[in-house]
Amino acid sequence: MAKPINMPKLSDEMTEGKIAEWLKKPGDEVKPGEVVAQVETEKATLDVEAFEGGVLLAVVVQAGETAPVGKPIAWIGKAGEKVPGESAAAPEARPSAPPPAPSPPRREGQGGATSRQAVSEPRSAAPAAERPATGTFTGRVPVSPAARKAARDRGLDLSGLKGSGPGGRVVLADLEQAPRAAAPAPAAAAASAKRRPLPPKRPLHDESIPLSPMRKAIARNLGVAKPGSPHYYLEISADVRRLVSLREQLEELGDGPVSLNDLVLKAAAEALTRHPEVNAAWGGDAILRRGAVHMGMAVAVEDGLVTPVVRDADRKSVLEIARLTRDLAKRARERRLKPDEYQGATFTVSNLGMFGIDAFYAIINPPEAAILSVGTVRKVPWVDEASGEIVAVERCRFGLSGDHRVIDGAVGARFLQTFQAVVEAPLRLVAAT
Amino acid sequence: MPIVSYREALNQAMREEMARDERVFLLGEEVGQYNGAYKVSQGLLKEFGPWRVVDTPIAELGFCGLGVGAAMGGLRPIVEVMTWNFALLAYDQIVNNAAKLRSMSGGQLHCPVVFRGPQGAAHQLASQHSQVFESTYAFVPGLKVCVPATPRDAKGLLKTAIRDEDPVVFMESEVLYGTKGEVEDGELLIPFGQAEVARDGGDVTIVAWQKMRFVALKAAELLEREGVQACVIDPRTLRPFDLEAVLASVARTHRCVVVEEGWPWMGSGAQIADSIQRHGFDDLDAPILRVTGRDVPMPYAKPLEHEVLPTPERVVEACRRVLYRSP
Repeated sequence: MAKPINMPKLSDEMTEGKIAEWLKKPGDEVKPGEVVAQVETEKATLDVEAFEGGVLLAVVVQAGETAPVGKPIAWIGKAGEKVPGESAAAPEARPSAPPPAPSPPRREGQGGATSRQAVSEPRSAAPAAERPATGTFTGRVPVSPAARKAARDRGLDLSGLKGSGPGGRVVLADLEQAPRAAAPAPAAAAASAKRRPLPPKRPLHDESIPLSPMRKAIARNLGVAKPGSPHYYLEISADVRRLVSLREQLEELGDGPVSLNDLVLKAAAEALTRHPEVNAAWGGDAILRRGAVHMGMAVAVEDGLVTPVVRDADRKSVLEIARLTRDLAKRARERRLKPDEYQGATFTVSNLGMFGIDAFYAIINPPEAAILSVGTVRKVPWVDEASGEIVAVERCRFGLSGDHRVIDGAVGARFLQTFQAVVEAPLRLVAAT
Repeated sequence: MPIVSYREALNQAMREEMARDERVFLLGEEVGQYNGAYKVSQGLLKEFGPWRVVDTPIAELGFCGLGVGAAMGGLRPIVEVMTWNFALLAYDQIVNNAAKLRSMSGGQLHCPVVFRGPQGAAHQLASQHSQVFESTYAFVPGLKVCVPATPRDAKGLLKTAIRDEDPVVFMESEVLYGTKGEVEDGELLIPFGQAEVARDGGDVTIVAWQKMRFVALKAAELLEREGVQACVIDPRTLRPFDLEAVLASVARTHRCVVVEEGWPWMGSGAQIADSIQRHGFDDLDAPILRVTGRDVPMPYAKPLEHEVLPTPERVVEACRRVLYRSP
């Protein structure tokens, strides 16, 4: 069986050796103890002897190449014998570029004119001090202490950020251009921990709820003040950093684009399952609760507006919703929607965020009880509740127009509160619950 | 306020303290008849007589020991060493006796002596006469080290040093003796361990003392043309050291350059950088850089001497680096 000739350890300090010369070539007879090669170490060129006799079958580390101590440099055996793992061993034993020989240990501060290396004047010494940034921080973002502290204080996530300092060090100046924290700040997490639990999900049924005398009076009086469907308007703003991050993560899955609006649709559907009273319509002499959540989505088309419907949005995954809305919007613009694709919504979402609109109040799509209007996502200065400091937070303003005949202001407000909580903790939208 | 030279300011301090306290006396080479090798003791022999202004032989170990003994015995000697290069001969008296008496006697003895004289490079005085020894004395517990840059600090710190109950190493500068500045007439006491902000700014902190204060101020002027406002802090005494003043500035600027005339290895700036990173780590946005004299015995040749000593340009370059404006 072929036996390896390994790179010998020829001195205590030796960790690798460079083959200076092969004295035998493949096919040559080798006697035990015969010198087959010469190896250069840091200090000297030394002989490598074969322990066993035989024929030199293969040389795996060529002259001029370097191998670590203990690695095979050649194989020896009977003529014609196969060298084990030849193909596998070869690349390992043949570094494409020999590693640089380690320099002798540097002694600093030994005084006199010989200690030039010890000179710590900035031009020579500091780059050496800064150089490790690339190597030693593998897998970490090198950050200056001040930048690290500022990022912690402001709740910024520095992972993935490329700093402008030496070795990619993130310095204070980089934070000014830093993207919003991908992960929510600890402060935000603390705030969400304090958040009240959501109202439970409730079963949805198609049901007709007769009008109580009070409801009749409300409908009558408000109908006088605001004929038709008497709107009231509420607004809430939500921290959408997590929602934005979730959208990015969903897109990274590679299953097609996901818009923020898809997540908003899903969040509204989720909130409706917890507030069925909002998932309702005005029925003239009764209020019609709806047994399914069909989300209308306002799409601007040339010369008008269509509202395609995502049926059972509460039961569809975000990715399904994303695919559907893309398809529906495209066909809406092409005017190729079938009637059942734009009829039967129980609730509608209208989004003008893409136009930079901060907030607005949409007009209800009758006979629905309410419509959600979505503004643009903006980074705004915000007082962090946990730290009391002003931080830059991406927020979005949501408006709710409610039909007062069907839902009172307090009902709309509770719905918006739930909606905000869902938006701020959006993992629920993708969790299999 | 009167304009006084650094030399005159020191002279005033000694004259006033000798007049105030008859235990104060001056001894050293050439301090009497010759009025001082650098004329710092001008007129003092005439005014106070040979009992109070004593010319010594060229024997540093001997007369510094004499000063230590006189201080132990209740007097308040000012020992002038012609330059700190020569005081190497007296290092044993200063370090082994003056610095240790209080602690080794359990507080029974103390040693209110001032050793004073110039240090540092002047003009082409070569290796043996151009040295900065402030860090070797600031290294020693039991000693206090003054490094005044201005005539006012020279007077105020020397008067404080003479009244101090412990040994003070008072380092002057040959090339500063002729510089002038405003100095109050009469009583002026500047406490030890109190830095002075020589120039305020919020972009980068430069710590520099004695001659280097002026190098740093020149650098700050150059930096201002680039829109950088440097804060130049002069600690004035190296032991005790006003770390709070430096940290307060670094908390604002997030970066610091320490400038010293002496050698880099184990120099004062190394200790200052250590203290800053230790106590102000989270404030730093860049490594602390040092600008020092080069790590060589001082060459005699003029261009080489210039190459060794810190320059405003080198300080500017270091500041640019900590501001990440320069690779």
